[in-house]
Amino acid sequence: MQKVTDTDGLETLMADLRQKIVATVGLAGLSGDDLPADGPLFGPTTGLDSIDVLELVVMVEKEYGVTIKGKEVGEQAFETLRSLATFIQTKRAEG
Amino acid sequence: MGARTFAVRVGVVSSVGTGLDLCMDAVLAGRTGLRELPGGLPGAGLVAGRVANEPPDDAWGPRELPRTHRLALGAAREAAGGRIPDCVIVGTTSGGIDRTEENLRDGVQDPRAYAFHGAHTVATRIADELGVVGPTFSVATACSSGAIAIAIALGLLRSGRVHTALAGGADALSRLTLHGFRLLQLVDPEGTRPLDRHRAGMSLGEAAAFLFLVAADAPPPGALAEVCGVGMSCDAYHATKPLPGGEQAANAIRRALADAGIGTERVGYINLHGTGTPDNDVAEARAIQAVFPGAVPVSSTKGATGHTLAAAGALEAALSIGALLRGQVLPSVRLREIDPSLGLEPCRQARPAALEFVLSNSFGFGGNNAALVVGRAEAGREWDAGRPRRRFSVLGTACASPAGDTESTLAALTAGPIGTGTIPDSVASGRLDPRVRRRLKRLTSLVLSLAEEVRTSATTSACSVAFGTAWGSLEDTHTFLAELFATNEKLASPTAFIGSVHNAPAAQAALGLGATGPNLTTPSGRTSFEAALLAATVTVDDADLPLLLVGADEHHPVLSPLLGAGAEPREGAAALLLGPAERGRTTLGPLIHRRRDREGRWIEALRELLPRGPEADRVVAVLVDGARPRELADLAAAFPEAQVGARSSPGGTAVDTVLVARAFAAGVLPAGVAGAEPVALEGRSVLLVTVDDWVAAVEVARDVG
Repeated sequence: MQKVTDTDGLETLMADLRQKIVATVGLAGLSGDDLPADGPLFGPTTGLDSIDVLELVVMVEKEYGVTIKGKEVGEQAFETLRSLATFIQTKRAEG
Repeated sequence: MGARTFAVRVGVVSSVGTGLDLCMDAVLAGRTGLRELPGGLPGAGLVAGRVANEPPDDAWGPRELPRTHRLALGAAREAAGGRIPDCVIVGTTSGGIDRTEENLRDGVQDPRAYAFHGAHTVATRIADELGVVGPTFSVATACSSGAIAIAIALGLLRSGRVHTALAGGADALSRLTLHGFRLLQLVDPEGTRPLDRHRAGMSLGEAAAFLFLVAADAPPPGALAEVCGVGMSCDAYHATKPLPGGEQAANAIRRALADAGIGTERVGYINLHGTGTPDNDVAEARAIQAVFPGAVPVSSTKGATGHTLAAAGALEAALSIGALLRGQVLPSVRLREIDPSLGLEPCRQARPAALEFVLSNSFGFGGNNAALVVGRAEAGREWDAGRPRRRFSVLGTACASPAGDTESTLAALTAGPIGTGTIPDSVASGRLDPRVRRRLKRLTSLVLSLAEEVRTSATTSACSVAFGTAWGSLEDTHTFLAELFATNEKLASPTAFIGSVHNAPAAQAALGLGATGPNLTTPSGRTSFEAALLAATVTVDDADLPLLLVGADEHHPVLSPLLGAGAEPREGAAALLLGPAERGRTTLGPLIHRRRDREGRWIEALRELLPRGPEADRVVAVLVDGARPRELADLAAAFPEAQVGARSSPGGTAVDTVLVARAFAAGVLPAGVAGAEPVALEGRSVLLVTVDDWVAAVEVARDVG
């Protein structure tokens, strides 16, 4: 089967994250399409910087109830959109 | 008056002890005041240095005062020891924020409950208590506030404007700072370990510390130490992160040593800023290595006291004086495993040393750097006092009001009073690059817009910034607290916290302009612009000119009415670019910053600053904001040759200074500004007076002596 099924809800979560990230950072000209699943979330391609990371940590906790503790955890979790979505899913599964 | 400045008394309130002696005993023994905050307090569960030993009586002032005010009064009374200083300069970022937080949470609508919100009220409350009549204002440059308050006091003393000064800093723990730094992920959950290989951030603390300073040619009886030199600079790099190589921190240190007239070899100990964040400690280490060719004993005392924010520079100046008096290098409390990559030699234990001079570093948000050198009272050094500055040349001007941009505002002002309203968004932020603007709320956008306009019109860029603001960014403060309370004190925007710091607009202006010289922010209620002018006049070297001087406050729909501004907005703001005073140019200088008294002694004091004899008639107009009819009549009697008139521009003296400076450029004060007739200005001056609980006056002039 060619069509990607979203059995684990990851695609839906990423779509939701795209919207919320765009709304949080308020970067002129940035749309959800500029945030591919596997490209770097931060840096020159997206224009997102270290202060955006801090805002997104707050957003993730507020919207998904998932706490991101510590710099290293944050750096791994925020590497790509997919890594962030996976992190949120894992944490939620852990309850 | 004298050429040198001596600390004759010190007052300290901190989590490791009240009074310099107890505080020194604790630090020398390696004790820490850091504890997990118990349940029921804001920030419960965080490790912080809370002052626990409050006196049972009212020794720190009445209990209804905000906590910062009480800590400040405790330390100020001890430092004054019954003497009345000529001025009070207080570093504080918090003001009465702890009360405001509770009031907002509980929906309190009575403005009287917010009477001590303003950062300046910490200074005025001390002045009321001690009976001070001279310059009294606060300094809010984030974590370097306490050091810069001492720097400004030193400038006032050296200028001869005052002979004694009470200077220091105070900050109590608050939700804003505890959660703000936590959400910036700058707090070590286990408690700070500055300079440690495993350091993971800072711990906050609360404290107040003051020095009683005296100008004299030789050490007066009982002198504890000499405050020998200060150096200031700005990274102009990032809102919160230090410049990684510490280049501007190094410049602040070099300037302090040069100001003190000593070489690096005479510094026996450095009290580091040493917050324990990975970035700070690296940048500071690089700065020290850039200045000092050999190893110098260093330590951070923040493992003992926590990072006490605006108090830190003053507290650490006090501890540095303690180190001189005890002949001991202070230990880096809570340091376990030295981070070898820093290349520093931190002291783990106190050790005796014959100290002559001690350097104390303080670095704040916005890359706001200050370094102080204190020395043994009798230590010798080469030092030239120089000639104090009295005024600047005006190189460029810009202003904004409900009438619109600079030209619209000036046209409206000469046509009659400007009504209520806010500054149009197109003026306040419309010209900024969207990428710059996206994180900036109203006040910071406004300051940046004015800074850009002045730069464009004057075709030269500022090296230093002085910012007069009564309230800082109310929108950021309110956003942060509203979000915090909406999430049961868990979450709020870290960006709003960064913006809520009073000096955020000045820091952003420095960033935009690449202004790496001194960066001052002086809350002083309605005389904040005048306080900024006075502070800059006595601290900024000619080499650091031009100076961008800004006066700005915003109207916030929720907070402004609670802070006594009324429901109707009346926004105004202005910026001036200032250079060295030159003949043939319009000049601006500070005259008085002084308590308003019923007897009108402030009018006599103002009169005495101006010439008598042939130049007695140089003042052609006195334009007064906020005076009672009797005060206007008394001013008219004191300046019989001048037109005395009331003024009430939105934006106060800042906007009126632009109006009058432009009039000087044209050679005539337009009809309607001071009386019905135009006034010729050549070789004359105009005084702008603001009368509130404190009175301030500035002089705009051309070709006067």
